[in-house]
Amino acid sequence: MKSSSGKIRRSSFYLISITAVLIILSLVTITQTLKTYKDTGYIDFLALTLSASAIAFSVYMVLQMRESPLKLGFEQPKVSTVIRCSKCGFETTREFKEGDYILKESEPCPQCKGPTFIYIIFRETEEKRKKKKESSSPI
Amino acid sequence: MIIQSLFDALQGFASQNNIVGLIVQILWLAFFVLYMLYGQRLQVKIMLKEIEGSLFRLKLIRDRGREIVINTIKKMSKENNDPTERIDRILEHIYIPPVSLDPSGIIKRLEHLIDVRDFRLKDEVKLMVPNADEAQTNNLANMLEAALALNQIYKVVRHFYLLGKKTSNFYIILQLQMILPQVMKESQAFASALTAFKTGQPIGDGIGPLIAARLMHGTKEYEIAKDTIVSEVSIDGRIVYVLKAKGPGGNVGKPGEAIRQLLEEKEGRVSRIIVIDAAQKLEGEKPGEVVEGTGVAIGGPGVDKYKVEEVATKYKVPLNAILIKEGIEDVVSTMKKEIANSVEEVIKRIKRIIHETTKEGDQIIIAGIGNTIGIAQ
Repeated sequence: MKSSSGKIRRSSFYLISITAVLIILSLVTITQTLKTYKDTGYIDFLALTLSASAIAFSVYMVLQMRESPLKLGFEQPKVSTVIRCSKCGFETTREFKEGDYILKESEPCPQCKGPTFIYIIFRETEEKRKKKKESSSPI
Repeated sequence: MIIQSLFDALQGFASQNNIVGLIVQILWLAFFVLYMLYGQRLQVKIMLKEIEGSLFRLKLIRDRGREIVINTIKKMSKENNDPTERIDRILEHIYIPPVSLDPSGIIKRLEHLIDVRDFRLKDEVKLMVPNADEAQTNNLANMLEAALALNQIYKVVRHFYLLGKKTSNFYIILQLQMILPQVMKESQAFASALTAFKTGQPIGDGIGPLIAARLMHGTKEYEIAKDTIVSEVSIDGRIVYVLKAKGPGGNVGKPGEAIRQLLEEKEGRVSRIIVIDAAQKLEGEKPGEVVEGTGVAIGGPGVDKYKVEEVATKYKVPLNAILIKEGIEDVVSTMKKEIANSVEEVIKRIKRIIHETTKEGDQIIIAGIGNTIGIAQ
């Protein structure tokens, strides 16, 4: 399988140039406005608004270009295996081991020495993040 | 220091009074005119940059997925043959759906093509890992499927990205940007599916087979259709035929064919069919939420669903569905605790339905639909 995405990188130079031009223009305009105010006492609100908008637009463009942290999805989650005794119902939880599957027979029960089996295998969810999300949602 | 000197330079620049002001005004005007003329192009550039980032990530996911498959097969195969070339060929495999211009008999043709594709994939696995048992072969075939899906997603997104860039077509780029979050979510789900298939962990889609396995635990089962097993269980004096795909390897079996055969065997003397499956949750719904419905809850290309609908209609057997809500990212990744915890609730509902709608001595079919990876019987 050959990589065929050679043409992919170029637009960032174009965007950075525009952002730079905008910021320089805004700074010069602000300085001019300040100087005019110092000399004549007149505030050019239009120029100030334009400069502020241009700076805001530049910040937006920079945020758009910013790389978000790479998370591919291959990260191994915390997986647990619950073993249950078929005789007394005693349950133990341990970390998942390769070769585990639901209803697989396991070691004898530590309490009654009865037969045990893997009752469930599940992935732990990120509780903290979930709780935060739930509490911030009004619905 | 740098900021101070820049400010000083700007001050000096500004002190040249009106000429500078005029130049700045002209530059601003020029900027606005240019923005009016090329604003959309600028927006296209920003959007392309965003797509580029996602495409780069998709490429990483695709390559990492391929790498995992190659390494797993190399590890499992005792022979020293390098499977890379064969895997690369499989990842480019294309499935051509049957012609639908004349829809008559399309289900049979569709089933045939799906079977051929499935056998081909398993044959390829057996050629690469001849010593693999049935469960390992199924898990490896599932891994290949996930890697294939990742490759296809990457290639389709890259196609539209390059097409949009080439033609500077705002609408192609806009549509691509709009569906990208969903595409990324799906790709990450396939990436976590690869990890689950590699280790043989049960996935969210396996909730149906898990419930069936709980119901049939401790009873004798037999294979009724290819890779599908059935077991006779007694619930509240009713004879219940519980069926699921044969585990613990990654397998969906042929539940449609199994239900059809059971109904034909019993000559339609079945008072109810209950189908349990995972269903796509809507935003705002909780994973593991249990809902009930009417109809055949079997996803996929529709072959099994068609068969059940046809035979149930023939014998006028009522159909119940119990659905367990899951997000797209949960369906193919390792089963979440909330989803696993819904088992008791589903069993409670099954018993309620049986109690309310059937009488003692009645025959009932319960089918647990989904991929049974990591779930035996």
